Amino acid sequence: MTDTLIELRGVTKRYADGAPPVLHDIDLDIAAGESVAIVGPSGCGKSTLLHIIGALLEPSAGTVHFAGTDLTTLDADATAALRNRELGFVFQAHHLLPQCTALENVLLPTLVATDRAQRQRAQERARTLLADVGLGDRADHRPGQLSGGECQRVAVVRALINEPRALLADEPTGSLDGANAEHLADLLVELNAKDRVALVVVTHSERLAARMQRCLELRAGALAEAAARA
Amino acid sequence: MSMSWWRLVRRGAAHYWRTNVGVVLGVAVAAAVLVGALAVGDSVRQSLRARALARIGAVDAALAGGDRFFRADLADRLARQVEQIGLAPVLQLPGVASVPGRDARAGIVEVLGVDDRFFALSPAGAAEGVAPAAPPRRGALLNARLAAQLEVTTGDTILVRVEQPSTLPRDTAMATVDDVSLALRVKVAGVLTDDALGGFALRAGQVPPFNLFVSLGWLQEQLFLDDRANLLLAGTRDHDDDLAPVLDTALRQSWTLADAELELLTPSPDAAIFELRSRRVFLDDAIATTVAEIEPTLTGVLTYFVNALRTDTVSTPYSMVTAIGPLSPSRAPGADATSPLLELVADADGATSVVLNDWTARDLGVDVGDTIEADYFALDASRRLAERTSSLTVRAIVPLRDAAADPTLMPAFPGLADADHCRDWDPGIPIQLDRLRPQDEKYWEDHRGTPKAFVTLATGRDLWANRFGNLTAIRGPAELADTLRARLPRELDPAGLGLFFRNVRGPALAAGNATTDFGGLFLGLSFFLITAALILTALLFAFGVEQRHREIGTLRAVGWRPSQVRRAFLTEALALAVLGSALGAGLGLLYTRAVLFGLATLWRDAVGATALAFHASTGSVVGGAIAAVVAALLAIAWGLRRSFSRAPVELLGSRAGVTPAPLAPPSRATVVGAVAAPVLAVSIMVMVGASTPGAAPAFFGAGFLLLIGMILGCRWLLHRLTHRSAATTLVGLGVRNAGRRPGRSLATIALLASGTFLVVSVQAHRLEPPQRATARASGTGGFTHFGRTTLPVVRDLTTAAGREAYGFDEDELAGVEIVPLRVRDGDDASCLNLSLPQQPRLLGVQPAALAARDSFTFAASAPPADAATANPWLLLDADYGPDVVPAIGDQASVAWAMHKAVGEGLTYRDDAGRAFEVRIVGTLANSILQGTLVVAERHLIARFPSAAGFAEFLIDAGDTDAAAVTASLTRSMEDLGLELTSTTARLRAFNAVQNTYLVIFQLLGGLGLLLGSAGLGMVVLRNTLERRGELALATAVGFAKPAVRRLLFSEHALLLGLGLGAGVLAATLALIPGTTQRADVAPWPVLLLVVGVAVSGALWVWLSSAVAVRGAVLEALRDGD
Repeated sequence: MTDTLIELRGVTKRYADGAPPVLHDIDLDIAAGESVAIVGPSGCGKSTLLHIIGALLEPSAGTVHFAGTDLTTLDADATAALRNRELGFVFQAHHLLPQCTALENVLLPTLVATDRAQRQRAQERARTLLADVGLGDRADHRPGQLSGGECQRVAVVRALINEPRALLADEPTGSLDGANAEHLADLLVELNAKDRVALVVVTHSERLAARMQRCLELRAGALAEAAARA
Repeated sequence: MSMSWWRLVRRGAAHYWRTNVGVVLGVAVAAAVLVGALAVGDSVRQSLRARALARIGAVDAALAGGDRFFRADLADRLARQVEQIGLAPVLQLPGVASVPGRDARAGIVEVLGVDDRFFALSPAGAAEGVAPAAPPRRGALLNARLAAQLEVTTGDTILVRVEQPSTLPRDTAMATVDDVSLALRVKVAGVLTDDALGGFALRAGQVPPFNLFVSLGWLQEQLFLDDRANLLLAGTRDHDDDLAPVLDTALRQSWTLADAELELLTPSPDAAIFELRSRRVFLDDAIATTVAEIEPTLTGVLTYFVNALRTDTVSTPYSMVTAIGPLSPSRAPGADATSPLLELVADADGATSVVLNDWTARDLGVDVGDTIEADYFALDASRRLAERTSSLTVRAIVPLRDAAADPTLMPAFPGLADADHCRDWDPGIPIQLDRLRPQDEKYWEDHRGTPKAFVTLATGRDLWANRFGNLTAIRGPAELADTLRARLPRELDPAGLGLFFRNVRGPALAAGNATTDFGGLFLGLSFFLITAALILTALLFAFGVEQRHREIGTLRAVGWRPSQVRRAFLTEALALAVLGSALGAGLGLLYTRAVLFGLATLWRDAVGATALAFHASTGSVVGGAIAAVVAALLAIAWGLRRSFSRAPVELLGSRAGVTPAPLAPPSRATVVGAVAAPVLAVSIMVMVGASTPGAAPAFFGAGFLLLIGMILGCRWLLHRLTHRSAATTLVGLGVRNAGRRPGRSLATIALLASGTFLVVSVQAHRLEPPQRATARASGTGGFTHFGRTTLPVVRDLTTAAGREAYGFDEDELAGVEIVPLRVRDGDDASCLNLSLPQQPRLLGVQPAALAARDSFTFAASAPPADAATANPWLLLDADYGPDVVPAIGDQASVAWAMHKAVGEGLTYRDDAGRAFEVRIVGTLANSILQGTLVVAERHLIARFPSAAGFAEFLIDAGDTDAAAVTASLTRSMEDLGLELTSTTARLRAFNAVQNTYLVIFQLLGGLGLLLGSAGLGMVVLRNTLERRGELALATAVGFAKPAVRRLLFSEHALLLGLGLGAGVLAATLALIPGTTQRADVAPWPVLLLVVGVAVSGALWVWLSSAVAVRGAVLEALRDGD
């Protein structure tokens, strides 16, 4: 693992001036195709760190590089474009649009593309991916017609539709029961292994964390290798 | 099926249909009002255009002779000159119609003598070639309005008193003023529709005229106007815009001396002279000038009727005196039979010299060198008949024979020329027949009107100057007659006699444009309703977007830029707006019909008698719908301006969009604005004062500033309440919650305050007539009655003699002051007439008379030229240049009907066809003179010599019983068709227009406020939905539902109270000028309106609060929502 995909240096995050930092002077390197779990107690700043990695939040100090690009220097449009092409997000809540079918939800990130051929290819890829995650026959169902696990799998497919280099998952199994959580974990690990998509997972689930190549623990704003691994 | 933007938009629009239905309905309301207002404009425009075309039919140009009567066969001669033209001679005279044995009566009736050629120019005749038949002899065709007024139908008999044209202009001293009308009994032969030119009129008026059509030939016979007409109508199939100049050219080529009412004759068979004379007695200056140019060696004659030639002891009553002299002062007349007399008079050089015939010298007992006095009537500087006296020295006495014994020197003075005996004399001037002696009778029998004295032409002109001409004849050697007969018609410009064609169609179509753009007007009146609908639309859509904050966050997280997300939502808004607008366009047409129905019934005062037909142009419907879409999109974009810029993480949070930012302290700009706006408002109030003419607009502006200040003050107050109020009670908690959503709360307050301000403050512009009509500074000018006669009043009603002539009962009319007005007919420019006036009616007045009374209040006036014109009325006599006539008009008429201001002018053409400017030098505040322009009488007479007599009257009855004055005056002037109205009623009718618009505005504004109230209810619902968890908690800790309702009610009632309070307080300021000046303005409608809005708002708040706490509130706790 020599090609660093994500590089954080001295990242600090405060939510208000004078407030104590949520994250303090964090350095982190994540290689392409690597899978990393970030664990820690509630409110320790795990999601904040993930959002900074995913360019959803700006750090108060420090730099974030993605594939050599300093994210803190990008304007809003460039940042949005980077999120669209290079990153995929899976949240604890699936955040599927209730008015759209599973397939349409998956294709949402592709709508900003101006290349008609690219969008046509995305259509085919979406069906393939949905089939791959076992939802081939559920593509035209709406979120209200899908189970929680199915919705979360649709959300994963949506995150992958533009073939990102990193998949960022924030408590992806947090709202799923045991079987569904296990199923989703299998999916994420398989994608990581098969497509060499870097996987960064924030989770309370030790089982999920254990399946990542690395497990980092965030405590008191600082990041450290987790003490114990399953 | 592929995913696309459009698909996403459709999915969103359909999924959130509950919210979106509200958005669609909001846009629909805005579109309906927009389209409706524009279609109202279309309807008014089309109705006026249709009416304009109906009143002129196929007529393109007209020659209106007024009191000049050309030969009717001029139409045939012109038709030979101009191809493809229809020409119709008409005899048009004013009249009064009544039904024998009944009270039914109609004044100001247009009696039109017509034949088949007239009806060939009717819309039906022109379009289909099926013209109505001309009325039979002794029969009359009535237009529908006159038939309705008289309540007659075919076969009924009516009595028409029609003006008897005078050969002598009525404003000359010698004109006959009695028997100005002739009664005709006619049988109704039918009722004409507009399609058959029933509503024929050359002028745009507020109502169709009363038209009565009789046979042209029969009317000519009755009025002894053999084959004469005074109106010539022309129309072409193609409606040629340049017809008037073509016809004028043809007129110059084909008219004759007879068309100019001229005769060229030999006074007596044995005389070798010719005489040029006029049916009108006096030869116009234009004729004299042209004749002098053709043949300068002719002789001018001016014969006048003097009351007496007398010495200290003897008087010869009622004699003709002839002034005679060279027509052209620089050229001596040629030798003819008049020459000896001419030489004799010329020898009697000097302005005070006279030559008497020997009969008179004997009668007076005078000799050469003696001095005699001549008494005669003349018009004084005020154009009032006055007896003057001139001293003349007898320079010669001539035997009563030859040239000095020529009875034909007396023109055909009405009442004299045909009298066999002196006792039969009935001239226009008052004479005392008992002064006539037997020798006078004998002289008349032997010598008729042979002049008893002769003066020079210059002297005659000095003494008997006359605006209708200063010659009664032109004489010359008979051999020159043929030259004059041939050259005079070619070289005399008929326009100089007022005979020229005017373009009728162009001005009629221009008049078909409304004085006011009704589309724009109703847009303005509906402004608040449209604004409320758009704000409601924006609020609904913004609330819907807030509900979808996670969707926005998701799209942002997957790489959509804020602009792309905004575009997606605005596309959805566009789709909803298009749907709403399409729905609204349909509703707008219903709205138009509803408004037109309102204008025909409840709001009839706003449009007078104008019947409006529905018409909606594609442009208005599509334009209005597009405007609604654009306005809705702009409103929504404004409402969403911050919705897409929040961080995706924040949007994705479970409570994103629910937890508002705390209310920040007011910014420096807010504080400065909150203080500066009221200070500025108070400064304006102090500077302008409440009783100045400009107070109402100034106070309205000050009120608006105060409103801004108060809204900014509410911002500060909300901050104070949020941070200081103790939340130890339900109400306290509610008050604190009011600042929870500062933007939403302030928007609610601003909406309610603005609406209340607008709706209430327009009450300040409500106009009421004064309680006492005699208040001279009021809109009545201190006059109690306004009178109008059909036939001109030629006697001066300000003098005892004039009042006596019309049989005034001085006991009944003691103390009644009358200001007579000359009238030059024109377009009605009052707000009662929707048509755009091209040349408003002119009223001629003695400026000093109104200045002395200090009548009316001026809204604006030009700077006085000097101390003499300090009173604006006197500006009418100021000199603004040779072709400028200063005028004063009602402020509303000048501004809204004429679209002019002080210093601007309108172009008129005088009786001779010359263009001149009528310049506005002053405007009157809300007066009974609406619809007209007032000019100095002398200017009116100079420009329009045909404006004979007085036709309108301002009457100040003081404290005399108004009903008794009305009855007495009406009785005395019944034959002249006097119509009297009280000035307060007249002013009320004018005011009703503006007041009706205010009512419409208040009604539409009230609807807007209702929408605003509904919006408040929606804010309550939205606020409570966002806080269902909080409410659930309150319920869980023991708050009963009524207590929660009180909590919500107190929170939002505060917003309601602040909004209404700010609006009412600011509006009260705007109302101050009205209430200080007019104690009679009832405050109740305003109070009721405010109370109504308060009750409506409270009802919406209460209902929304009740709905919010209905059902299982506690479930919100489990949702964690």
